[in-house]
Amino acid sequence: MNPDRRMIVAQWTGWALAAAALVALGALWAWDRGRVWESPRWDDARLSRLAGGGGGAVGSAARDGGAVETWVVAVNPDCPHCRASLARALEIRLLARAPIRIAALIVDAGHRPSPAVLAALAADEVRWDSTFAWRRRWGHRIYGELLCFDRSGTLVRTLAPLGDSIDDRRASSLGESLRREGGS
Amino acid sequence: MSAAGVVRPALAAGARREIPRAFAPWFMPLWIAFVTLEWWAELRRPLLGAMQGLAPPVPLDAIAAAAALGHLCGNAVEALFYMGWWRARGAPLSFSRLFEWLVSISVLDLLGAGLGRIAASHPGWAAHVLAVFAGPGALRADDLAMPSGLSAAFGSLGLLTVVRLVATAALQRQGVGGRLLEPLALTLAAWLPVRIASWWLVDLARGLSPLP
Repeated sequence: MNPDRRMIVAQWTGWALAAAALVALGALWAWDRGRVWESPRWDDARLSRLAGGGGGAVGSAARDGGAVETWVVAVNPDCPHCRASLARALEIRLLARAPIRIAALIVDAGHRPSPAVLAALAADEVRWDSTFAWRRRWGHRIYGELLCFDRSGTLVRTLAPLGDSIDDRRASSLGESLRREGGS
Repeated sequence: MSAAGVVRPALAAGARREIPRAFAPWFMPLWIAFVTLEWWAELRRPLLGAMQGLAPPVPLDAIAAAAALGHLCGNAVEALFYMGWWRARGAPLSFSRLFEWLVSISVLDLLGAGLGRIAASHPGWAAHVLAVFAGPGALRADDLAMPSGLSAAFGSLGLLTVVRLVATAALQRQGVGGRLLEPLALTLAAWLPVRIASWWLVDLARGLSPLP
């Protein structure tokens, strides 16, 4: 076999391997997309309350000046972006005077977070996802995202991690519309 | 090209075809350095937004520099891929000239990214017009019906990307002769699986979480 022919065979072998890898990736993607996930709930009993709150989401929201929604930031203790997203959510609430509670959900942490970690989270409430429900049962994977729950603890929307100007603007306008519609 | 995948003898043995130079040889290193610098600035922007208020262990400028050099290496790998493909079929392509051109036409992607930023700050009809050139990713996520993974992979597919793909094929045709269809098919065959793989990988990474 001449060198050019060998090269052509090698190239087609490369194409076949790449195609096989793509098909395998596609199969994994289709399986992942086809999985049935639980709908997140803020009153999920698997979430351990570590700070703030008091009663369930319903009661605490009512006590906090009529908060109509609870915005929960998925925080991993080792992720600085998560703390930035949480801080931005608190700023947006202040600027938009939005009737919302800001909570932190500690995710992907096998051990109970230390008091120092909790002290660094200036949220109204902190819960710990000790059973990895966020990742394994809800199917969520991006740290710093915001899960917005209504008064009954039902998920109403998910927002991308704050920090990007477009996402910040969207969160601000949502906060303002909540103030106009439901805040007291 | 014959059915066996070898370029017809008229192309291989005939008068030597050559991709024209993009610029004078002495200017090329300067031009490549300039384009790489522009990529550095472009890649630094999202990092600045994401790292706002944080103290990353590695300086942002260094991360952006590594990414810009990575982009340049990507152009080199792409040129090597096309060169190897056509050389095996008896039509040698000049690596350096193809590389120069690939770096040069990557400016179209920079232009697309710039138009995307303008569209983000001018929502409405202006964003829709710019999205024709820069791709649907230029529209605000509210206006975009595509799911996140698909948007991340194909969000930049606008007229500028189409021009870049056709230009890549046209450059190969300059070097190997024949019809545009064959290099265009090769270019698309190299581009499309990468985009599809990006789409699926982004979806796998994000799960049900939305992307910024």
